[in-house]
Parts: sequence; structure tokens; C-alpha cells
Amino acid sequence: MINKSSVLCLSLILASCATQPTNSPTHLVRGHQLSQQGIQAFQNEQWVKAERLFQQALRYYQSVDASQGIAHCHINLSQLELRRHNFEPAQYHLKQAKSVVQQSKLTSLKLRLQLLAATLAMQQQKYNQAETLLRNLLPLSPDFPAKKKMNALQLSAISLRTKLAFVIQKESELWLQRYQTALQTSPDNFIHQARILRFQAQILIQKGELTQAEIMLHKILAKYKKNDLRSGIAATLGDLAQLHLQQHNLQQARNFFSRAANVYRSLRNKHKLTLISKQLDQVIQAINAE
Amino acid sequence: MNKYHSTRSPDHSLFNHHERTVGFFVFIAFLIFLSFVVISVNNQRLFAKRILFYMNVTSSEGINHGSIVKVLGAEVGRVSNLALTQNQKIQITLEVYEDKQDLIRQGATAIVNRLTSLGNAQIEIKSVAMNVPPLAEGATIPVEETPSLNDLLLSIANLVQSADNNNLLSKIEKLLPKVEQSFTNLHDIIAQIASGKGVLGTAVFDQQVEQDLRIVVKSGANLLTDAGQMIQQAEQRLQQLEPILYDGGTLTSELKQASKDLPELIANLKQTFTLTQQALVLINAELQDIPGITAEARSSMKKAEQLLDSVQQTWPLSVGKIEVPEYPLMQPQPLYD
Repeated sequence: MINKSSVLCLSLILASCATQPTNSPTHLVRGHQLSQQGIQAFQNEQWVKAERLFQQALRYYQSVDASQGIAHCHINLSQLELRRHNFEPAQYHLKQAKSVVQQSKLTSLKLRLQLLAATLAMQQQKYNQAETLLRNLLPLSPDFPAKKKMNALQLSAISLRTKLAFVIQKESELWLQRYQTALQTSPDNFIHQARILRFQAQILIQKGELTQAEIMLHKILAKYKKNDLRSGIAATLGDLAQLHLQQHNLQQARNFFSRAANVYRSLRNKHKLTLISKQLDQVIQAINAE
Repeated sequence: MNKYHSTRSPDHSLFNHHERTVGFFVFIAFLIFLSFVVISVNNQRLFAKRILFYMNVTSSEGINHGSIVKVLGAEVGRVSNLALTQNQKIQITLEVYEDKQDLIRQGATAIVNRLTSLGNAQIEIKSVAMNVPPLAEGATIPVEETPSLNDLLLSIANLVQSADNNNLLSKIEKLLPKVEQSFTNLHDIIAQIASGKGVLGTAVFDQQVEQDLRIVVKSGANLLTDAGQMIQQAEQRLQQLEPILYDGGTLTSELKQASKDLPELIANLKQTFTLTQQALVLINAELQDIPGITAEARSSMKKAEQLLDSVQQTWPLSVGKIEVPEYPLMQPQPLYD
């Protein structure tokens, strides 16, 4: 009996030795993993999941007082909230990130913070503030943009500046040309390419070439769908709705507004959903009035 | 007395107390067993949908049916099949859980690490960028393979054997503390130089010294240029004096005798002046290079520091070094609206 039980114990001990030891990750590594997963969720436009993961990563970084990790998490969260048009949380995280960057002297993140601040100002329709911030990010020289490859930050800044030019209706074609020249150094960037095409469609609308603009917008919509970019799909549907509204094709406008609202609903973007719903209501009222 | 006992006597019940207790424990044991089965099914993802990917390796050592496939340290699937291909490679079939497919993007590479634990290879898939579409089902993933532990041990054994033959290990053992001390000293020296202490530190990193040096070099260069001009003028004067000295021979016979060797002397002097001038030009150029040399010294110091760091990260001096990976940060993106 003793022999049997000892054999059993020995075999169990041997079996436990043969299995791989579990490596419990440190707080820092866990923070990295969660941040990475959060970025993936962001790329897949799963905002809620991304927010949860970034918040968890932030707690892990805070638990080991990793300043850089904390700053990165706040920046990621701020960018996420900006994409969701949640201005207050975006501002809060931006403020937190600024504080950490200042305290820990993380100078390499200063430009990134400026870009976030400019984006926030732009979304809050503080155009003068956005222009001032973008001026610091894009120091214009006579040969701007330079032929050397622009980084993601510079490309985003020039994209934002082009958007600003369209909003304030000043030098929009010049900025679009600059944006196109800058993108020549990174031709395989789909998101920027699609954005440029949408700006080009807007130029066509301004020139009154509405048929051409519609064809172009449909092409862009197909590209966004192919790449499964819901934010792009929603924005292009919104553009098409505006185009039809301009042409007084109310039924078509309603159709596109309704489709855009569906996409924004799936993205849980309350701000944009409210805006689109208001426009949709106005179109429906106009149809009923007819 | 409960209701059961009040209505029926123990003799008339189907099971006695002892049987009921046993039945209860058997039922609990069955429930526990069932929960284990459920947990096991969940853990092994027996009913999870899977997507197939392939990779071709040169050796299947350490890869077995059921080996775990990881992405970012998390399990995303398992090896389901191994087959020999026509080009003498082994095609590994990877079954990736459908809900984890998003983690494998286009351009991903598989790393087969055979150095993790004895007998098992770790298959880790790394995606280059996350902003590209997921990899299509059925794709073949390019592979990077590490040598197996056996290969490494064999090469290390050979190395140790040859080292042992030459009695190298004992020498290294004696040398190691000194090397470590030397590295510490070197670090201190570089730190001192970097902080501008000492003669070399002041010469290399002190901006004031550099400026002073530039001024000295500049004025030195000017002086040398002036000296060169003076020598040229002296040469011209000698050339002018030459005919006069020749005419001096007619004045006195002694002088004629004395001036006999003068042409040769003048020729020698000319040659000396030319050589001096060339030397001055060379020295001048060297002196002008001194600020550049200080810059090069700085860059050499930085490189030496990097070299020291990399040497210290190499075994056996790397003991206790902790590598901190980068903090993930999202790429800036343009606005859609």
C-alpha cells in the first residue's frame, strides 16, 4: 500500500516538474501588453474595448510609477476620446499627459501633445487656437514640404491644417497641394490617401462639378469599405448626404444620412450621431413639407 | 424527527442513511468531475472555430502536434499537423482561433524559438504593423528559426573543450574581476570626461576651451601666414643681393675669395626657405583641423560608451542587467470628419 501511494506521489511530482513554469508578467510588461492590445482595439475601431484596455494599462503603469507609460496611456486615451468626439475626457487626459510630461521632462512628447491640443481646438471650433498650435508644428520654409520623408506626426499635422484651410475657406487648394506633396514621401499610407481624395472631392464641389465629386466620393466609399474603416465610411456617407442636400435630392440625402447614422451608431459616437440625426430630421421635415 | 421519519419508518425507506450519504458524496464527486470537464473544454477551446495558416521550417525539432502558437505572449492557436514538402522542408499547419485572427496581420513573421524549454519550441507570430488588414486564411507565414538547444550545447561543449585544453577558463576566471573593475573605471573616466572634468574632459567638452582654441588656432594660422610672407620677402631680397655680391669680387681679392662659395650658399638657403614654407603650410593645415579633432574625440567617446554598454550586456558581464522594453504609443492619425 505504501509503495503504491509513494509511486503515485512520485509520478505526480514528476508530472508537475515536466510542465512548463508559469511566467507571471511584471506590472510593466502587463502594462505594455494591455497598451498593445488597446492599440489593436483602436485600429479595429472598438472604442469601448480600447478604452478599457488603456485604463487597465494606465493602472499597471501607475502601480510602478512608470512616468513614460502613464504619459503614453493618457495620450492614447486622449486620442481615443478625440476620435469619439468626447471633448471633456479628451481634454482631461491631455491635461494629465501634459502634467506628466512636464514633471518627468519627457520632451520628445511635446510635439505630440501640441498635435492633440490642435486637434481638440479644431473639433471644438477654436480655429485661431488650432492655427497657432499647428504653426508651431509646421514651420513653413520656402521649399515646404521638404523632399525628405515626413513622419506620422507631421503628416497628421498637415492633414489637420488642410482641414482647417477648408473650414475657414482660406488657401484650401494650396494646403491640399502641400498635403499631396508631403504624402508623396509615404505613398502607401491608405488613410492619408483616402483623406486627400475626400479633400479633392470637396474642391470639386466648391467648383460646382458635382457629378465628378459624387463619382469620386463613391470610389472613396468603396475603398473605405474594402479596408473596413467605419469612421471613413460614416464620414463619406455624410459627405454624400451633404452633396445630395446641396442638389436638393432630399430622398437621396435622407438615405445617406440614415446610413451614416447607422454607422455612427455602431461606432457609439454620440456626438456625430446627434449631429447627423438632427440633419436627418430636417431633411425628413422638408420631404414631408413637399 | 422530520416529516419523512414521522410518516415512514426507516425500515420502509428505499435507502438507509448510510446509502444516502454515500449517494450524496458520489453526486458531489460527479458534479466536481463535470465542472473539471467543462473547465478543461473551455481551456482547451475544444469547440472554438479555427483558421488555418501554414509555415515551412527546416527542422521540426521541438514542434509537436498540439504545440502552442503565441502572439504577444498570449496563446492564439496550436499546431495541428506536420507534413514533409517536396523541397525537403516541413510544413507546419497552425490552427488559430477565429477570435484571435485579428492579431495576425499582413507581413507577420513566425519565430520558432527552440531555446525556451527542454524539448519544446515556442512559436511566436509577430506582426510588423497593426494598421494593415489581417492575414488571409490559408496564407503561409515566413519563418525565422533559432538553433536548437542541442546545437548550441554542442557548440558550447566544443568551445569549452578547446578552452579547457588551453587552460583558458581558469585564466578568464582570474581576469574577470579585473575586467569588471576596468569597465567600472572606464565608465568613471568617460563620465568625468563627459562632465568636463580633467584636462581631456575640459579640452573635449568645455565650450569655452573650444572657443579659445579656435581663436588660438586662427591667430596661429595668421602668424604662420605672415611668417611665410616674410620668408618670401627675405628670399626676394637675397635674390636681389645675389648680383651685388657677385660684383663685390671685383672690389677685393679677399672678398672675391670669400664670395666664391656664395652661389652654393644662396642655393642652399633658397632650398631651405622652400622646405620651411612647405612645412609651415602643412603645420597650418594641421592646426586648422584641431577643432574638428575635438568633435571627433567627442563622437569617439560616445561610441566607446556604447561599446562598453554592449560589452557589458554580453555574457558573462551581463548578469543582473534588466532590459526595459518600449512603451507602446499610438501613431498620430488624421481626422475623418
